[in-house]
Amino acid sequence: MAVATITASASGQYEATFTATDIYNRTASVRVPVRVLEPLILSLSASTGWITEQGNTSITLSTQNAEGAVTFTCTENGTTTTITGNTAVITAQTPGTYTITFIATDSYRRTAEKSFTLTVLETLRITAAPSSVWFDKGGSTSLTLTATGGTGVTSSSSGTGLSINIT
Amino acid sequence: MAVFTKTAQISNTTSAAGIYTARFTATDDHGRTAFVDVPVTLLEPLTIETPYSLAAYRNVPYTFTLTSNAANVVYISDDPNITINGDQATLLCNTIRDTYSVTFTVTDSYGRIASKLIFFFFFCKGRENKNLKPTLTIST
Repeated sequence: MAVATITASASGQYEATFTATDIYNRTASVRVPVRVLEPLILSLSASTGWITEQGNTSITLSTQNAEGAVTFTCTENGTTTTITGNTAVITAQTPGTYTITFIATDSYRRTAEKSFTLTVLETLRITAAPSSVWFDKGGSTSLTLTATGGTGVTSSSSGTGLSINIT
Repeated sequence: MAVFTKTAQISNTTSAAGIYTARFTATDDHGRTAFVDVPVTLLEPLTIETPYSLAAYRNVPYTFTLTSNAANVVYISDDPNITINGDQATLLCNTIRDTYSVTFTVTDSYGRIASKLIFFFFFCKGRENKNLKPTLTIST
């Protein structure tokens, strides 16, 4: 018994001929068609993304060079989920950073994978503001506002008939 | 959790008194926004509108109405000759002077305070025990 390893530098249809010769110089040959495929490639509509807690985002998966039907799965923290169609809808309840690995498998059982990093953000909220303020004409008033859940928060204001300066 | 605190200074010099709305919007570096609307009440400065001078009689209770440009106000005076019930003030004074002055203070529901000095001019001394204006009698 012998084991042959076949390599190819380009895709295409080939034919490999294997010949066996015994000590009496008798030979026997067999022709084996060999099809060399382009590698299966999985692409994602995005490699990173963010959502606000309890929100969701969609990732579209596509493949190149697949043979036959393709199935998609994704794995996150040891849990594997089969994706229906080619769009994954990702939801998350808890803020944090998650890595989701998507895997495409074609009918030849070839696989390709890509990872998607999802950042789940806390909800941006203005958590403290006065319910109302007042001041005399010609005067002014100050109020303090507090926001949480965001990163790099900036603030702006608007109010017809009022002059507002935020520091 | 990051906490962002901002201070806003609201002022106005031209608008009419009334209720306005200030909208404060927080935007984070992901472009997310949150806003809050804060009602802003712009008030006319609190004043006592009772005239600066009133005419009264000595030793005769003189009741008059205190008025201001705000509702739900409380008037006080620390003058011992003044009693106040709601917006009704009564002066009972036996001074020998021709005028008497009292400082009234008003406080509104916003906690604003305004004061006003009101002068009382007493009618002629000869009729000071009657709550009537002097009359002229001619006899022949």
